[in-house]
Amino acid sequence: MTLHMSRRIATVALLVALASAPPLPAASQPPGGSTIEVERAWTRSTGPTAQTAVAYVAIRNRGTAPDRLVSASSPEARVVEMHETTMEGGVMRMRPVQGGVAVPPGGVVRLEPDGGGVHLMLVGPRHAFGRGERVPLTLTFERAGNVSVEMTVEAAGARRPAAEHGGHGHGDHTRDARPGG
Amino acid sequence: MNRRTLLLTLGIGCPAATVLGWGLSEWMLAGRQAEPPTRSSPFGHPIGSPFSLTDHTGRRVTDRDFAGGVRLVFFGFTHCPDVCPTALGYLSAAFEGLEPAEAGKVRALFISVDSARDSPELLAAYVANFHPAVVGLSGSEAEVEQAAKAFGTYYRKVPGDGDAYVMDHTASIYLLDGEGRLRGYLDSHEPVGAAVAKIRLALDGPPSA
Repeated sequence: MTLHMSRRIATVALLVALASAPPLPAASQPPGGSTIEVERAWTRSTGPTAQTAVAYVAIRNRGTAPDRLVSASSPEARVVEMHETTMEGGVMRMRPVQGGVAVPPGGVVRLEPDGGGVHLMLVGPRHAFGRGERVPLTLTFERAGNVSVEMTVEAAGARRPAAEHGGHGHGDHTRDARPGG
Repeated sequence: MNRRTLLLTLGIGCPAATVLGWGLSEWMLAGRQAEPPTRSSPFGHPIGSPFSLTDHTGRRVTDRDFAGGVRLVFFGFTHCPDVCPTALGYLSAAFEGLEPAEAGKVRALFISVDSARDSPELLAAYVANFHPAVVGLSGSEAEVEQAAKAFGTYYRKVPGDGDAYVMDHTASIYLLDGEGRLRGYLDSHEPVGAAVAKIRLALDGPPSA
């Protein structure tokens, strides 16, 4: 069997598995009672030849100890990198984040477009992300370990998820924190 | 002076003077080109010409193919998942905010600074996610360099791990009127209504003095 064929079969199998699997809750707690919740996980639709895709999340630390996002992965991308976008003198720069993203206790760190901040970059997506699909993502924290979520796929140039009311702690008063090293 | 000396002087002197004069004028012209522009503002002045690139359908195009219409020009690359889609999403929203008759006179040009990776095919799949008025443009390294020069845009390849790399690039969205004059910039941090208003001003013609 050619590599091409086996890839195609793997893709079809993945799509079938995705279509038949019930969606996971937007935030999950690993055994051991993690204090990290990942909300508002979303990505943008991409074409079949896209070499990268994006992942945006809000990370809430309900605990009393600082934590740190150290890595991320997805079965639907070759690798997931943490990138920081900066704007200096009108020039856009994108660089790998060194040392992960700190999540202070009681804080929410938002990885979102336009913040001049951090986003997750899915390198080598295995297939096109179509609107309405769900894409699994696992975030690994220094203390909390792995937290798995499913990202909604939004429009290609979306600034925010279309359905903002996911029912995850809107309107409370935890302080927001900027992503940082 | 005998005849031989005269011939020798003319034979060597004339070509030498020509070469010297040519070289001197070249040097002076190069010096002039390197001088910064003396005008204080780029607004209202022609920008973005000439360039020669390939659009996402594979068609060869130049800046003249877009003359007469309002142009929104943004430099980026398709491996950019964050800022570039945000900008193109913003432009798509601005197109939605225009009347169809207005939108028909406006084109958004997404010029790839990543000549090594961005083929017309990759650009076609990328721009397909946005408003149909968005045109993806790519070209050889020299063609992209010329296009960037025409707009005064900065870009640079930044090596990463292995053969991976990213591109630094100017994030401005240039707004050109039908005459190819720079009328301002769009900013994706501003409300979409601001972009629509700026595009309409450019559609209306030259600013009143």
